[in-house]
Amino acid sequence: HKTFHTPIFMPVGTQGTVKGLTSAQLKCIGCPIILGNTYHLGHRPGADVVAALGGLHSFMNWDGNILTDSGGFQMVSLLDLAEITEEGVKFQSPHDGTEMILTPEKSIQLQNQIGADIIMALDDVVKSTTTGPRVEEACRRTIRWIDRCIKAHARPHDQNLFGIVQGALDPNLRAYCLDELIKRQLPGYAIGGLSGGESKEKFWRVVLQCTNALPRDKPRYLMGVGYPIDLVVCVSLGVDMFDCVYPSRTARFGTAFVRSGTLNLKNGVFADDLSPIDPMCGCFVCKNYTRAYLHLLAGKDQVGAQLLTYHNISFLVRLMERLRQSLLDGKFPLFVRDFFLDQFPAKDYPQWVRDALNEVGIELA
Amino acid sequence: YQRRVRGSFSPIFSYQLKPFMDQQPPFKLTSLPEHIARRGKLTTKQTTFSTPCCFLNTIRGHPQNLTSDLLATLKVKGLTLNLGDLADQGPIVKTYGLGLHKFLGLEKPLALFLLSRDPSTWDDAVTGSGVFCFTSAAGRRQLSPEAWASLESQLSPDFFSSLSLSASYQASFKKAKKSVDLTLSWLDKTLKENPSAERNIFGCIEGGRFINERVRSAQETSKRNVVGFLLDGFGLDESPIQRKEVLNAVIKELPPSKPRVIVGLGIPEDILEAIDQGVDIFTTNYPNMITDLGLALTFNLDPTDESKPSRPYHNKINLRDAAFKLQAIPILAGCKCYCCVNHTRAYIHHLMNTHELLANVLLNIHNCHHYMAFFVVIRSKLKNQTFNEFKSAFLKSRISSEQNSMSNLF
Repeated sequence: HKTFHTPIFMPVGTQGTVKGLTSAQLKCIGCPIILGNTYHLGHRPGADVVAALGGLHSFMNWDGNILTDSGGFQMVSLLDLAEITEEGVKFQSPHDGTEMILTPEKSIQLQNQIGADIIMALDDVVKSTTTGPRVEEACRRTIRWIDRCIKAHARPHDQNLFGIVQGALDPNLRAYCLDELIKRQLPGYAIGGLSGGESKEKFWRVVLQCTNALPRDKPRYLMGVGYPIDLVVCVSLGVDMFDCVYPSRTARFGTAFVRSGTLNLKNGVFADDLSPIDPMCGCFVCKNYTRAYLHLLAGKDQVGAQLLTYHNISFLVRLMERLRQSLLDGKFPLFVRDFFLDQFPAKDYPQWVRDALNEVGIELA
Repeated sequence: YQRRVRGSFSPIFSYQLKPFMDQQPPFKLTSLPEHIARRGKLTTKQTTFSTPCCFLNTIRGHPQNLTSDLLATLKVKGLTLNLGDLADQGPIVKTYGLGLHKFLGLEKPLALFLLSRDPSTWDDAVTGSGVFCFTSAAGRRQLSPEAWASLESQLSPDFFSSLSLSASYQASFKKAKKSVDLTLSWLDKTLKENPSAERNIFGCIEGGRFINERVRSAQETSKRNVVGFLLDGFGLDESPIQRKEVLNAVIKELPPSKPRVIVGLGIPEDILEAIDQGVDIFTTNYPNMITDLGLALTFNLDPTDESKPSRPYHNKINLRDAAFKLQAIPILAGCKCYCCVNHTRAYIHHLMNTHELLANVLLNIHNCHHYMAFFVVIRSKLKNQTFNEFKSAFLKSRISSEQNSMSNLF
């Protein structure tokens, strides 16, 4: 729909809405791309309904970009309700118990109907902490499924099909998956199966292995990440695109992002704090509201959720913009150093952050 | 007026009924004094707007689901604030120093009316010894008139109401009398504590269904230096006919130059009747209640408008209904609100089905817009002196639309 710059953070709009924010507000924030979810939209309102109403852009009146996830993650998040076979995944709906079989062909067909700009292949997803033969099975099956996805894709000229690298924390499986996906010469590649409870030490090594292998001229999308610290480290490691529910979800619990970390605005200490959430933010919320007033709403109120979601998403979009600008200015390592100094003024950086950044030649203060 | 105790002269409270020495009164009648249904202009430090008008109720200082950027797109001219939401915020607002509007994050200049009681929950209490109580986030608390005066001067809203004890139509005589006595006494004490409150305090008219008590309340309150009158105890458990009778008796006693606010009326029919009797300002959360029920207001704003193509109207539509699943049209054709300009019934239906927060946001935008547009029509009918024709056409149209309606609630 529109050209946009990376690195980019993509807010999650699972059911055709980023929770509580209007399309106009997302535009004001300057957010160029959001996520939708094929499994959920396929269930309600149904891909046929979305298609009949002109596709998801038209249905939700969003003229920016949309990326749809294939439904693969629901294999993990709704595992109790899922039965995974070579054919596909059989889901039992958590809402009304009806059954839905999601095959690679079906997932692509639904995504063709929904009409996102970027669509994801259906992958066999296992939790990153899984061990044993299931991991290899999932990795190999993901490759078999990518071919089925490519074959089923009816709109290769206006929807970009990204493949997803699986393999949990096993470098050999990851290498196999990377090789095979790269052979298919896809428009972009995602690093999947992470951000599920694995240790950060293992996490960054897998990310780096993938970014080192993936083509330099194609976008790399790290799914389900995340926290500001993770975003900055992973941009350093060569990732271009991110999505995460964290900014919107934590907003509903009263937490706001600031340069030094987060503020739990429910805390009584903010009852008489007349500064904005982040004096350097500049978003509509920081221009109009004080912490003292937001303290009254935090965690209690729909408007509180709306305002903090607005701020948190703005914060991450701006963070990505500043990262990008520092790259253009040739000041990226300095930016990263300053960022971590703001987050850890006592210089007690997490070891995994030090290690990951060292690996790509960035030394913290 | 000085109270004489037999055998001695002891001024307890002294009033000098004087015109505003240092400033203009905030309310000015712009219709002819002999007209019972009135038009006026209300002026605050920040803005002037026309009456009859409607203030939106707030929770924690904001209207439901309306962040100030969304609120700025609506023709909302005023908000009511609840004591319970701001009871401890006096000092911080004073320290803030930029005014209550900015503290609440408001982008547009709106009139802020601080009420002592949350109008959307009939939460009214007083201790045995006659001390005013209210509910805050921290639970039930007492408040003296002196403390109320102090809180008001720290928050500094455009207008505020006296502390009041409400008596509804069904209340006993004892309660009704008590409501008049206590409310008057609280008003006097508040004014004594802070005489400059006469610039923005509304006296509350109490008395339940007892005409004598209502008249007493109206007459006594009129003697005090108040900026206007809040007609209390309505919209609770009385029928429209009962309300009309009591309201008539009250308004007869009130000076025409001061505005009349009524709390708790929201249904369009009730609004028109009250305006016909001389009410200027309404406060309500009616559009929000409609949203909470999953309904959208679609009543015909002006049945006398010949220029609009005639078509069947519904008073409200229930967007949860499966009939809307594929309707790629706005909630109401021709509505200029953000929701109708940008979104379809199909999308709102989907958001409601999936219990998404945006459903409430968009519906509240539409419902508030439509409701405020109703007041725009009312004001123009009063200006053109076609209010009576409009009122009967509107009431008729509501009844015939109700037969079309998918929701026969209210």
